[in-house]
Amino acid sequence: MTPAVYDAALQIRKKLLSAASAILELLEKDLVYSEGTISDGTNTKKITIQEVIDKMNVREIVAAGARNENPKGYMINSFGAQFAEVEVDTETGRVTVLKIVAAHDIGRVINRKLLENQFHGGIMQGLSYALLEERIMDEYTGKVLTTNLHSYKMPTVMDYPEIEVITVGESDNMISAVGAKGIGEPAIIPTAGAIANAIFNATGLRMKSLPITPDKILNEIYKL
Amino acid sequence: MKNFQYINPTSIKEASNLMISFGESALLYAGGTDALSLLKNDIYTHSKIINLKKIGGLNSITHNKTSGIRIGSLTTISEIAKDETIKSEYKILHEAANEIASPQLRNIGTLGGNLCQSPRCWYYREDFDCIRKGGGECYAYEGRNKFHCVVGGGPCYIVHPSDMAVALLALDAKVIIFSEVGERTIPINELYVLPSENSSQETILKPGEIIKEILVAPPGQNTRSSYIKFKERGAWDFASVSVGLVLEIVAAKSIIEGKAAFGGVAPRPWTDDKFNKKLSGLALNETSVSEALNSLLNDSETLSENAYKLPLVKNLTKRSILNLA
Ligand SMILES: Cc1cc2nc3c(=O)[nH]c(=O)nc-3n(C[C@H](O)[C@H](O)[C@H](O)COP(=O)(O)OP(=O)(O)OC[C@H]3O[C@@H](n4cnc5c(N)ncnc54)[C@H](O)[C@@H]3O)c2cc1C
Ligand code: SF4
Repeated sequence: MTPAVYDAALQIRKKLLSAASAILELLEKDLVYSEGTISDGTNTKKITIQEVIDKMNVREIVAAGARNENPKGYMINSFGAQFAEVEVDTETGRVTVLKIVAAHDIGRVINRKLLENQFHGGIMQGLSYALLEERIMDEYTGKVLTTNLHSYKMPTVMDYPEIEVITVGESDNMISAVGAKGIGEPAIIPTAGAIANAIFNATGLRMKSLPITPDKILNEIYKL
Repeated sequence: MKNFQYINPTSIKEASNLMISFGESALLYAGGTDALSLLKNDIYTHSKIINLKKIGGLNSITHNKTSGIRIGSLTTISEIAKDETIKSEYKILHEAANEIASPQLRNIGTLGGNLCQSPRCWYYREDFDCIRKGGGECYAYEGRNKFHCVVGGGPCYIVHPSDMAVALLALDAKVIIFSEVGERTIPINELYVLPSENSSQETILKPGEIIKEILVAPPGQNTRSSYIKFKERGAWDFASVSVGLVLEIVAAKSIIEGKAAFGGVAPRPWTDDKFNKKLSGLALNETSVSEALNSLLNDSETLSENAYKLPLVKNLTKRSILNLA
């Protein structure tokens, strides 16, 4: 989405410059835009965006931006790796995720705080997929039995592990005008696998169905 | 949800009389945390809702060195969790209260409502006309039953959902029941019934009977207690299995006598008398505790998806006992 917004912003900038060029009686190519003001570069002739809009007598300037096609012959993927540290209580079957380290190549970081939130949200969805969320259905009637947020279990703040976010890679202008890749979904993808592999590393148990709930672990340990 | 009339009696006697005159259409309503969702989902279809919260004098905890504590049935779970004397002298009750639901629900939910809440069986809560709702079949028996009972089931296989009931059973609490003919006091053990005795009701309460107060005797000098609840997520979850323990311990070496009560295993808060007998004189080390646990719930009958509860209940009980040593 960011490249599309960037493209739309460029188009609006062009419209403003073209209006300013008529008002200031200067060629568009000689105009300089800086912090809300358009000038001839020496500040002899200048006008603010606010004034341009007033003179244009419009209430809004609209532009539709688009993300360009991906460049030919150049791969654009969000690469990532995640590591899970878990504790498995072999007497109760409880899996506690202690820590997730997530390292992803997301291109250019535009807003670090929002980016980290995306990681946390994605990882918690992945953790929930690994350990908790399950739509349980009655097989004879086809009716779903977990129809509310109490029986369909999503994690609570008590289930939150330590999460360390590492961004690797850097802005790549071949990708798009802004050089960023996405992270919303990519952060979800490796989490469940990392947790299941950590469970294997801790216990030797290969858990082959999700969610890995305590009853499944006990069934394996006690061969029930 | 059906339309209903909301009635606000100001005395327990008036509430009891209203129940009797309205018969089956009447429902007692305390915090409403359970009753309201059942009404909204048309599992309850009562048309006369009798609000208990306008009745005075039933929402406090009183302490007495010789007779113990007396908890009014309208006391909220939060008030029980916050009470300093309960925290220091009846750790099991404090821990059970803190394990219930979420802070918001604990602030509204009452002790009386907690003891009388309806089962959480998903077939019961969803659109299935099962035995407990007057139908002819238990859908859980051959259906999805990982949270159902491993002992005491048939023809219905619920587990009783109350955490407070398990803790109070381990403490041998007494329940004061108000009815039109007067008050009577029964051991909490006698409050609950098995589905084989009554498959549409979890308690013995009859129309017009209201839980007034709960009594718990003072702890002995050597009493130690705890409540361990195993739930699938970190908070806001019912017990897969829970263990309430009240032990008299000498010199951290052995148990003089003790009582364990279990949640999540049976249609009512459960005790295993043979196991409780074994607790008397039991040495507090892993080997002897494990040995005593071998026969725990050996009359169990597991369903297709709940056999894990047996190792779980044994392991949790071992952990609880050794933690108290
Ligand atoms: C999302 C959720 C999670 C929960 N998690 C837990 C949990 O982990 N552990 C747990 O133990 N409980 C749990 N509960 C249940 C909750 O604790 C109880 O619903 C609450 O304590 C009930 O109290 P209340 O005053 O709201 O009862 P109400 O909803 O008002 O009443 C419940 C039932 O008790 C009857 N009743 C109420 N007071 C009396 C009385 N004095 N005498 C006779 N009958 C009476 C009512 O008629 C009704 O049938 C949960 C509930 C919800 C909604
Ligand atoms: S366990 Fe009881 S409440 Fe659940 S489906 Fe069977 S009869 Fe109904």
